[in-house]
Amino acid sequence: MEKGNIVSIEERIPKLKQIRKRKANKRLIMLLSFFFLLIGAVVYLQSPLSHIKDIRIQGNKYIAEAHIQALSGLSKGDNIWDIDKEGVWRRLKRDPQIKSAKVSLAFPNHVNIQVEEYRRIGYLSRESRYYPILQSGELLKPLAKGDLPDYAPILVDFSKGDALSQLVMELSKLPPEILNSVSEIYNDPKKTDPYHLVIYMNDGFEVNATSRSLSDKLVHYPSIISQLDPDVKGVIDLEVGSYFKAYEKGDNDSKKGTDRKGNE
Amino acid sequence: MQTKQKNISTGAVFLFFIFGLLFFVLAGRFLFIQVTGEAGGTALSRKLETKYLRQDILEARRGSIVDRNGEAIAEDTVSYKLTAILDRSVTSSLKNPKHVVDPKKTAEKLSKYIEMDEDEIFKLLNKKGVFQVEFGTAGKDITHQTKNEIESLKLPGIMFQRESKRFYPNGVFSSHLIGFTENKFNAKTKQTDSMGSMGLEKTMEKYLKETDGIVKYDSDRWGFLLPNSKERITAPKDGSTVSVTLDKKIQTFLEDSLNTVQMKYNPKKMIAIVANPKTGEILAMSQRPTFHPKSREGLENGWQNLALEDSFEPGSTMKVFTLAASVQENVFNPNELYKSGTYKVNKSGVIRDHNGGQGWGTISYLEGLQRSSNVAFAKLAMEKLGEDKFRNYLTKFGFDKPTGIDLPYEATGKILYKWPIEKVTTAFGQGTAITPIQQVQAASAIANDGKMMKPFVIKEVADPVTKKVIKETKPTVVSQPISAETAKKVRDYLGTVVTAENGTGKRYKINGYDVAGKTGTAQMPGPDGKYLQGNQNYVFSFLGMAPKNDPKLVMYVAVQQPEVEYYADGGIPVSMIFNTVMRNSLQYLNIEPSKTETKKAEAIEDFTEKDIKSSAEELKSRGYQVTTLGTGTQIIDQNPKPGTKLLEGERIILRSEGQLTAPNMKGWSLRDAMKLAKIGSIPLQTVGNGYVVKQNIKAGNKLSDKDYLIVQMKTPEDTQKKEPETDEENRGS
Repeated sequence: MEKGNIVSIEERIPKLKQIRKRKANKRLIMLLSFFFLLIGAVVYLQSPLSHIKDIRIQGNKYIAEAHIQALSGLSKGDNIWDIDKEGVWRRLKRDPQIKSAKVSLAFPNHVNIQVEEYRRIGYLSRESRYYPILQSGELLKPLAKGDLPDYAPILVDFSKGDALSQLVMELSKLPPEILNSVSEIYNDPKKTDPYHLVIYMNDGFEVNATSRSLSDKLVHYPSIISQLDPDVKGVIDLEVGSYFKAYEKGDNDSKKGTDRKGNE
Repeated sequence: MQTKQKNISTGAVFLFFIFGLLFFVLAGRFLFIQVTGEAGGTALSRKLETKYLRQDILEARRGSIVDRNGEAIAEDTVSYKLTAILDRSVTSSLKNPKHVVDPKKTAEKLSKYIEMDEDEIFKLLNKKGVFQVEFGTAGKDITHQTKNEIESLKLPGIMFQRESKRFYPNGVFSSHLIGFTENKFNAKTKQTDSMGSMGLEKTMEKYLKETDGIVKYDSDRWGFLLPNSKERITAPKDGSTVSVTLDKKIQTFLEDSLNTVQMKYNPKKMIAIVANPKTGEILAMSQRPTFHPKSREGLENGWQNLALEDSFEPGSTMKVFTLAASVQENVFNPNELYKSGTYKVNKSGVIRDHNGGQGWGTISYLEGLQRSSNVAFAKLAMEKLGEDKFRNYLTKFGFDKPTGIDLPYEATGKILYKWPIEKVTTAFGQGTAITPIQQVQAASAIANDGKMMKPFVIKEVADPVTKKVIKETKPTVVSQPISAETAKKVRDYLGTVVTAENGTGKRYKINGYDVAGKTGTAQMPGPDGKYLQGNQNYVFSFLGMAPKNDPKLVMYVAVQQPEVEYYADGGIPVSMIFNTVMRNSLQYLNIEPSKTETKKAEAIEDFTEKDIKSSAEELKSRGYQVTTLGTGTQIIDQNPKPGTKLLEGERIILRSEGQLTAPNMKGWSLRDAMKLAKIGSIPLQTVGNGYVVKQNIKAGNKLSDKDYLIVQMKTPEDTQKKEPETDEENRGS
């Protein structure tokens, strides 16, 4: 026991030597690795690995990828470490159709831009041009001539104002599948109701409604038509309550004229 | 020295006695007060109370009035009044100021929440020499939410005072039935209280009235609660909840349709009642003119609840009961013929049918009912029933006395039955005056298999907390004037009034439901007692029930002097009210249980590179309409795009390679046509609106991106009118 604690000087000297050697080695390795790291960094920065190889854009539906890429200010070959994520978002934000955007890197040299667009909830038709309307209520520049609206109903006879903004607010509350089943919406103000609408659905039914309660009522459209005979077309009135009135056939139209008056 | 000392000691003795006396006087006084508790003749303990005991009022809420489903019709809501404290003295430490420190900033922030200009607020906040300021109407009726928002701004010196007010969430909603409250000074509690002034708010005051609670506590001179002092609380007692039989939905249908008619025809008066004939519950009741319960705008036009406080000549709706009496007595033979036109009562009195006494020749009694022939009913009452028997039935149907509905001021009708001519005219509703509610009650006998139900509006009164029912109305059978069999027959006969070719009630037909009822057109006596002339000077009415076989609802509508061009159009406003309310209410009552069935919606997956035929089949089996374009086998594009959510029955267009040919687009919507044009890059031109009726490139012909595809569209209404024509054109294609 006692002997183990005492190390003679003869034994100690070679150990000291060893320790000194080890220390020198360590220092050398550190210096070398630091040096190689520097070289590696320079090589990496010069190599194509550190430059954007491709930009993947996801989540866009209405805006072309090329347009988004141009807006983002990023291009192939830019240094991947030089991307200003905030700046990209600031530039993308300039397009009123973009609701949010997230830029992320995918190693080694891919960039992902995940965008979220405002839904298009309608196209305002005026003088045979179509002006897209966003969920946010924003009215965009008209589509190019010859380009046709997609994804949303056509709004006719509206001018900017209460009736339109009320309708846009209601439409934005509707689930997409219902919006997809609407073909055209006509502004049809009445003395008793300045927000009166005539709606033509894709399946051939006509809906009379008021934009004051449109979203509450039209939500039930799938359940309403499931109770109707698809071959008997007519008007679904959603102004107060909801009821269906079949169109009358041409031949007995005149005879029942007075009757219909009373039903209005 | 000696004398000097002596002098001193006498002085000491003297002083000793004086102080001793004083001591005893004080001690005696102490003891006296301690023992008797009185000083100067007043009880000290009471004096103490007045000095330190405070009492506060704990505000109770007035009872709510709710509809049959518990939806609020009238309720107390809490609002806040904004005040600003300007006096510096309330602030004890500058770190936590209690008065308005920065008027400019405060004004700027407040102007965003209350309807007052920044400048005006600023002026108010700079008023000199006042303790606090209020903001007039702009600072009243502040909602809880706004109050929280303003409080979150942490503006020093801005305070709120709680106030409660009566709130009528539905606006004009059977206003004459519900009534309103007014703030009145209560001498007993020395406070202003809201008290019912009209309608149920007044008659149910006993139940609705709340009792404020009181809290008493000991406090220091600043009003703070002293530690360890006992609070004595008398709990506030909220008013009871009064449930009425009205149904908010049905009442809303009624108010809406009355508004529509008011706007379009501007009648002098309108009365409408919807009731459940099986119980006598009034489901909706309204009238025009009416008033808004909050602003009381329109109240100057009358306080009367016309449905029961106004009796007038009902007109032909009365024939319902003459008919019922005749059927019950087995004297009504629908196929028996009689000569219509005029009926001679006695030497001087002749009554005529409503087409100027021309009549319709010899017709059956049933046709007489359908055409509302006065002669038919004069004969039934006078010749077949006999005047005494008929008079008996008037009593049985309750026209002699008020119905006894649980509402005040009910009018008694007046049956004129002295002279022969009066007896005859009563049979078809002239001369005799009755109230609308009497007619509804009598009609319940016909709708409810002979059992006449007493109408009522108060369903129950319950404690708002424990929900314990204090008072409840049970349906009451008044009498059974006719048998169940008679009732059914009468309903069938009345059904023909609506369905028959010549029926006066044709415009009351409702799709999907059988209606039984009778129209009425009553002349109105003018100020001189003679009937008024002119197309408009009538009370047009309808008394109807549906569904005919087992009526769920009875409804009475009367419209006085609508602005119509022709006499014959007078029924239009009535039918607008009856049909809308009846149909919507029946649907509303019926629709509830069956809500499960609905069309499905799915997100469309990506079909690119899949086989076009099998994909089309698959989509079709899922309920979609599929149109394929191109001659290839593999799908290269689809519209709508993958991921789009689509309802069953919508159109999907699939495109493959190869030449595109036009599909038959008849009946396509504009959007479907656009889907096609977009996927095929075909220039599209549309003419008109609605649905496709005609296309320039016929089905099967080639489509290209150079030639315009022109589609003509028409609204469904136009299409229906020209059905044969368009059919032919399409066959040619």
